[in-house]
Amino acid sequence: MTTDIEPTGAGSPKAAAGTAVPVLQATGVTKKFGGLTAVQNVDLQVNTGEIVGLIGPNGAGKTTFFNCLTGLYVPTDGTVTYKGTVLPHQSHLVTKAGIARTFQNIRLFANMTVLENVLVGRHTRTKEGLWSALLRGPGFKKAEKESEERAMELLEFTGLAAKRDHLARNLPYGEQRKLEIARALASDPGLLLLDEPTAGMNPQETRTTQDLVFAIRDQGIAVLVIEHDMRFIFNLCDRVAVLVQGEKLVEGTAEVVQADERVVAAYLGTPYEGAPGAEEVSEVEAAEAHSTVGKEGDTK
Amino acid sequence: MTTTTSETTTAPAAHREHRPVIGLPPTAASIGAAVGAVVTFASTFLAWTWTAEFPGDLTVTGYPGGLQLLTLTGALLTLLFVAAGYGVRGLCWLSPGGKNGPVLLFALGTFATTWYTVIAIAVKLGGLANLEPGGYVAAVASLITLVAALGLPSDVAHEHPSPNAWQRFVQSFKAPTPEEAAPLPGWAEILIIAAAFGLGLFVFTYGIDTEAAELFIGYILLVAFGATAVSRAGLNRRLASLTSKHKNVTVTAAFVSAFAFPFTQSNDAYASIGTNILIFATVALGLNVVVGLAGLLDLGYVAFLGVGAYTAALVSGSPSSTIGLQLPFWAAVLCGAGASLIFGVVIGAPTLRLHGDYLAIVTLGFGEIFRITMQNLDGSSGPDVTNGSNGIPNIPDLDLFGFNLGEPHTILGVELGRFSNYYLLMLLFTIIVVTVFRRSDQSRIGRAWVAIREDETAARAMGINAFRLKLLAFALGATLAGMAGTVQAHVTFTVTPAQYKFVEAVPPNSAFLLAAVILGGMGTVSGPLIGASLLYLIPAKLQFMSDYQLLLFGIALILLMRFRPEGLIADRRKQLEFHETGQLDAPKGDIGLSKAGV
Repeated sequence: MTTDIEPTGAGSPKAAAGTAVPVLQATGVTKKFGGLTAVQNVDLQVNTGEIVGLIGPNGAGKTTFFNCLTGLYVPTDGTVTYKGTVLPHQSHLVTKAGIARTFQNIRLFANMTVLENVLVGRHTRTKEGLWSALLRGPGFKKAEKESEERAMELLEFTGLAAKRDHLARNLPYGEQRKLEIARALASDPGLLLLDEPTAGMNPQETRTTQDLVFAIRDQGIAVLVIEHDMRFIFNLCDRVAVLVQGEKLVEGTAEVVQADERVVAAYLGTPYEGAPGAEEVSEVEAAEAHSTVGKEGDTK
Repeated sequence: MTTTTSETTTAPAAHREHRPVIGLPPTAASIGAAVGAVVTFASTFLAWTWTAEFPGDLTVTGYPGGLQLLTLTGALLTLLFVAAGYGVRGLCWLSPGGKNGPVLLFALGTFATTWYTVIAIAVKLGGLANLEPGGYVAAVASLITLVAALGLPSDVAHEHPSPNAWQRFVQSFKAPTPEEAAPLPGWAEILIIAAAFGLGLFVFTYGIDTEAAELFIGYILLVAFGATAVSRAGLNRRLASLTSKHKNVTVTAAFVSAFAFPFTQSNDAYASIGTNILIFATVALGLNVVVGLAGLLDLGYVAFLGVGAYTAALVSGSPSSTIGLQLPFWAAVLCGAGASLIFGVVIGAPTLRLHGDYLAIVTLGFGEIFRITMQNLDGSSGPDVTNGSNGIPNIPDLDLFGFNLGEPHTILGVELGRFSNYYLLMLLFTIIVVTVFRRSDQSRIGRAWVAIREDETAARAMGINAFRLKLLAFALGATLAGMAGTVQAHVTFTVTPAQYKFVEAVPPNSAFLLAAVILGGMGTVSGPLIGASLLYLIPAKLQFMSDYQLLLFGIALILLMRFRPEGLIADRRKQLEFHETGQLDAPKGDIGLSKAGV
């Protein structure tokens, strides 16, 4: 009967900016599918108020790592802690703890309206059960009203308020991506995991998404983002980790990652014998920093 | 040069866009349809055949009877809609949407009913010689009406520049969406809702009271075409906008008309059809929670009805009950619902970890296990609990507050028989189930169910404990069915395992329950009620077809899935899913909404 909307956000932006308290800490996460090791011994830390990028070539295990974090997969080894507590391996409990996510292939509730999609996101922060729904007491009405208000706030925030009664499937692609983010934010997360939020977007939409992610960070929510758009990643992230063949190759600021030869080799391959030398490599490197590498062949 | 050609072609093109199926001048077509309808109308006052052997007595001149009345109604409605389409003052409200589409549909309905009658007379009495001139007049006049109606221009312009005959035929049924109606005073709107439900009750009781199969077929033909015509005319949408405005009035009107049904029945045999429809519909609505909302395909649902019925029978004080206990009815209902709930949880807990097809197969298996277990608890194959295939007979009638439901009572000057009493009791349970369905649908729980149906992985990632909520839906559905079962046990006197098969000729059984939900419309309240009424009424009235019943059923379901996949009553969401919605910039196909990969 009672509504209990717990603010699990990482506190006010000020506090978040000041101290680097770890929100998410993954240690030694390993995931094996039979003989294939998709993720091997990956450590990653995300602090409050931070935007961390996770990059790597296709098949590097980024999404598998995400799934290990959010409880969709049970990691073979290693632990994930959120604000000091070890996360269970069930995705609804992970969401309840305060980690929300979006999907690489948009997974909205296609035949529900935009507003209903966001209201589903509120599920963990509301408590009314079946009895309350059947008896329709004052507590139920109050909770429904509050949920709707919060959902509308989020739709305003993402700019979808005008389309609240449209079916999710009828939204254009870019707005479907935004709705996924709004739905994830509805669970009042302390950490938001974005899986390729700009895949398939044009440069303008990518910029809007970038602004949206900054706005989310300013609300005190830490963000971990997988992306192939290097310009997007390097503009956005405080830190970037590179995953190659399931292992973390390097982690650091944009400059550190861009300068690392192994990263370039992972994306473009090692020079074969007798052909391009160091000069060409640096050229490629420079080009890479200014282009949208990996966009092609990315849509699975 | 190009501009001139385009200019010269505009005028004929505009005309061609609404080209009718048969090329007639529009005025001639209107007049033809009107005259045809008047002659058809008049012909019903003539004798169509010479002997009263054909059901309904079509022999009296000046006094239409039986199937003639249906033709009369069809002709009258055709005439009214021709007049409305022609812009006769005071009738324009009849067709706010399509103008000519409804005329064509009513003409088709009248034609079908009339020609069916004429052919049925010839076949039943053995030859065309049995037709009186009136029959020929009716046949020709209804044909003329139909031909003239086919000459009316289509309401919606053709997309194709030069449509062929079939395209023009299909196009002539399409109708534009009516614009918003001018607001009426509140009392008038409520009066319209009441009148609509009154009309619905009348049409329904007419169908139940039809005495002969011929009459029922004619009725079904006219009602099917008539209902389509009314929806094409845009009256459905007008009514829907009124009912959504006055929700409480609508719900009250629906239950008042349902309550009034037994008072219209002089024959308790027809009241028994009503009672059985109500039991069937209530159980179908319970199944709609499981299938329509949570998306769990349950093929053994009738077992829960059986659990409720068997529990009620055991504690009913029946001399054949092995327990020999007699509990008051309210306690029996609680026992039945409770036993079903436990059974539902016991079955659901292990099986709900399965998905889709696997769940369907497992529930199908459990449904059969229930039936066979009841059959084997007979004292020889197992402990004697249920008397095996003999079942538990002689279940006594209920006695509520000194009101014995087994005896006829006179209320308001109308004698209510046994089945009328049970109808009223069952209606109470229907109201409970409808309330449970509506309230759970429009809540956090209902949204979570729909989310699980849409995409379970995403739902879990949104913090929904999918297993728990699926179990809740399964258990709730089971409880509702068990509750209905406790009444069913008393209505049917006897509870036997054979009543709870997966499929058999008489509903309710698992296959028919599922068919009622799908036919009526998943996830709606009125859908399963209408679907169950049709699925019960048609076999009950057309018993000569019982050998082909399942075949016809299959065909009907295939046609429905092809032409109206959302069911007869469309859920708001399904409506948006399957049809153009005016929500522009909708992506073609399923861009980005694939379910592949996590």
